[in-house]
Amino acid sequence: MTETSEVCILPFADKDYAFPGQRANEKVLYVIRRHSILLLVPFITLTLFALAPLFLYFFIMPGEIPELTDPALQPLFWLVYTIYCGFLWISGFIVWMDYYLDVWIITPERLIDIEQKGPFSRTVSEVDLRRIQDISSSTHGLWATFFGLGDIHLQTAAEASKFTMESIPCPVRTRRSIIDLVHQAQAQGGVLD
Amino acid sequence: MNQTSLVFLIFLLLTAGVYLLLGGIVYYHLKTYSLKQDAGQKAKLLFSVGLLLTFGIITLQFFAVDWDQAQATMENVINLNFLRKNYD
Repeated sequence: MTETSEVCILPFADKDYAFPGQRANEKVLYVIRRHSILLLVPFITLTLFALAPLFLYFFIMPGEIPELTDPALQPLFWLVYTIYCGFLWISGFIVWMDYYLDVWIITPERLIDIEQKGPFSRTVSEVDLRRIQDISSSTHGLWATFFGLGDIHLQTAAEASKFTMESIPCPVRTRRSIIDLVHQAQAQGGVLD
Repeated sequence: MNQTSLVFLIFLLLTAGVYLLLGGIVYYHLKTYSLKQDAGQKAKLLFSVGLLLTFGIITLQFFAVDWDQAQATMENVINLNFLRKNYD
């Protein structure tokens, strides 16, 4: 895939977003999350988990243990099934929350990386745009190429640390936008080592 | 209130506790860490309504079950399986 063939557009922050730790007059330019296609597999799995008891009860049980499908026990089945669905509902939101709270926020001054790993692990790191020296994007694999998702690697000056934005949509456009912002920030405030 | 309904009532109370704990964690995260004016603020409302609705349905279903008949049927199933196993 050549750079110009990428047709997706980087989602520009169209609302007046605010985040914890935001500086005065700091405007959010981009809010980037991992590609939403990554939610497909967990949600298909949860749907299968939701359908499996119905299939077992209505198609397998009548042949194996017919007594359990007695009409007197059906309300009990629905009671247990609803409790089970409640847990699936919570699981679905935990999966979505993990996706949704894992975010990269770009402002004219800095890039903030918020990483949510499950409900009890959260890492927030940031890099001043003037410190960024090298930006590269990469797309590997059939599905990544097909769905247009990839990684962006940011190398900061005088540090071995590297920022990686994983599995994001439009990696090439995003990289270009970040390069433009880095140039603007460096033109205004100079390059930081 | 028979033995089966008592067991299910305890199970229901435990479920409510776990719902409250996990639901509270999800709600707290969405409330605290969501960007303002973003989907997270709406999602926490949807999540809470869904969870409350589920628990409401569970409570209604608990009272809809004929526990005496359910216990009798379950005892019958257990006895039948016991007889089947011994017969085999």
